[in-house]
Amino acid sequence: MVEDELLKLRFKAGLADALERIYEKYRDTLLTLAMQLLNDAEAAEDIVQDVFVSFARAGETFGLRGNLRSYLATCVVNRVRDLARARKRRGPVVTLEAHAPLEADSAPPDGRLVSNEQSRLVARALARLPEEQREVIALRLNGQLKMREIAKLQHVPLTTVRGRYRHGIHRLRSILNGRL
Amino acid sequence: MRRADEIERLVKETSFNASEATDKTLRASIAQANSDGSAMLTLERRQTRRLIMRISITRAALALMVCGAVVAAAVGGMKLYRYHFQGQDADGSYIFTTEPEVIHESVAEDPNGSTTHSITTRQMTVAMRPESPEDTSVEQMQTDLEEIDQLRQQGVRRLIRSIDSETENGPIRVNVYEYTLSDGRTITMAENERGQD
Repeated sequence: MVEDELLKLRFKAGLADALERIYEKYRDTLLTLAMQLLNDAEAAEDIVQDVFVSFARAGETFGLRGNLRSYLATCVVNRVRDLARARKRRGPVVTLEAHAPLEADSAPPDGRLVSNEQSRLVARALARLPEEQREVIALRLNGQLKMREIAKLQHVPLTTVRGRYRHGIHRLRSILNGRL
Repeated sequence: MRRADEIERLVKETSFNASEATDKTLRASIAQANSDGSAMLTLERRQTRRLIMRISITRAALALMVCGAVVAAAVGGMKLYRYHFQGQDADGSYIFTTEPEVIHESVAEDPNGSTTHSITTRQMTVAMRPESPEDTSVEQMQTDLEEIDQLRQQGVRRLIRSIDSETENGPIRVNVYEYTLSDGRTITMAENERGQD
């Protein structure tokens, strides 16, 4: 926490090492979050790149007073939503990931990301959840957002977020049962 | 069926790491964006901010983390800043900022008749971390900061040590000073050397 507060201030002061440290600290966290939300390595990389590029451009005008990790996680979620909207506009979405056999493992495409089989299996299982449940679970467990922060992000009451989390976890239990 | 907390653990343990190639791509994009951003800011609006140093306190009543040397243009008298309380950080520090101060302003007109208005401002941020619950009065902290401004401009302070470090803009020196307030308390602050941004 203290380190992040210092990083924010150093970043605002224009010190390049701060940006690099933020990148190194959160790169894989954000890639993992994007993968949990999309289960698409190429799109995850694009989104994380976009997040960091925007962040780098913010430079001295950057004025975050909240939690850095939550902020970056929220940036990822917003871009995932943008991507989902863009894909919908392009036409009917065939949710390949959602219907792919859970065991149909493949190495991460073209070696963009490094992961183990368990991670890939969980990502595929998450892809089977409704979008809003997947988002709550990923933001809570990976983004470390508080439930009330997620409620604000999703524009729903806190009880709804808790319900989505509970139902999502229950559904994951069914999907993953006996798989690992 | 797996327990819910085991599912939570599995999700938490999920990990996707950037490959070497991905890392290289990301770093290149960020470096490019960072330099673009700097150029854009130079043209539009710059804020000069200063280095932050966290320092440890031994005898002081309050610990201070300073973003910014409070360098006042003491021409014809003292310059006093008003410190506005912005809230508390996650680590319990009390954050204060000054009003943005315009330190340079210019208007340039190109042959097409369009004008570019450039403005450079300076705003200081100070984080104070009380060592005891008795020291959490925001008003007292604001008063202390204003008194420190006066002491600084009068040169009434004691240099404890200097720290040199490298930044992308070249080497900088941070001086750690001890201020003794009128009520006898001492406060230690880390400040950029005058003139460094």
